[in-house]
Amino acid sequence: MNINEWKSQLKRGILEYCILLLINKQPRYGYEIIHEISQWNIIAAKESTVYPLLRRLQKEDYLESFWKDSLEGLPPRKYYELTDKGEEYLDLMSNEWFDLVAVISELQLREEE
Amino acid sequence: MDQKVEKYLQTVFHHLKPLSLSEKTDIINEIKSHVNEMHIDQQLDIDTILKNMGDPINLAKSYVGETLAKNTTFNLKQLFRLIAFYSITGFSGMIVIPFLSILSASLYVCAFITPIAAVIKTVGTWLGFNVPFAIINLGFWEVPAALSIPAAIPFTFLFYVASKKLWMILKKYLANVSKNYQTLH
Repeated sequence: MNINEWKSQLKRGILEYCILLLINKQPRYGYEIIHEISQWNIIAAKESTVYPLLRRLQKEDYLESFWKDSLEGLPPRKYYELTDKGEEYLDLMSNEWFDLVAVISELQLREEE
Repeated sequence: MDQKVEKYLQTVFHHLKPLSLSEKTDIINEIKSHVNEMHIDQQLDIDTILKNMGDPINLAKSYVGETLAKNTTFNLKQLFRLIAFYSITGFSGMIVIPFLSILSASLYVCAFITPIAAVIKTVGTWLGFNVPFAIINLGFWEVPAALSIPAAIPFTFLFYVASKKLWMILKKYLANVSKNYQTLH
């Protein structure tokens, strides 16, 4: 039994959604995102996954970024925030997600019968 | 800043080749900022941070991979590969395919005609005819009519084998072309 393979596929599928959800609340910078998602093993991801993903989302106009000076002694941070297109995209993803959850619950219920 | 970090960042930078300079600089600044945040926030030493981030070449590749995979715009490299493939295949095919197929087919026919001719010549000699159109010449030496059949055997064999070999080469050539074609798409 190799549950890890399935988990990594699952993660690949939902990471984009998780990151957009995080950024939806407020602008966030890369380290913050990685640190935040590292709390949950199922979506924890490395720099080499998250940063290129952020870059792609930005290229596709779902995100925009800006550099902002932080506390003294620290180099500026690159913040990401959702564009209008990104918000629409996130809504669509949320719809799909609810559908998916409904289907899974339905299947689980049928199994119990 | 720590020299190890600088070295790490330089390696990443060098492996971001297909990206533009401004993109590369932006990526490097972001990673630099990340390392700093981690260093201060989690009190980790630089070695541990860099180790956790993994191989700098792989990190660079994941940026490049993410960009190329989503790049639907005109791709010059792919175009050059296509041009090279069709030029080479087109030109070589113009020579290789007719040459091999005609030669192979001719030799195959020869392999049949040679023993038949030898038999005709031998039978003709027995019956007292001179069959002029069936003569085996090896250079200036004409094979005596009585030796026609033994002389024909190695030639028949040779023609047959050569024809088969050329046919195999042609098949291999065509198989190779299709394989290359598939890898392009």
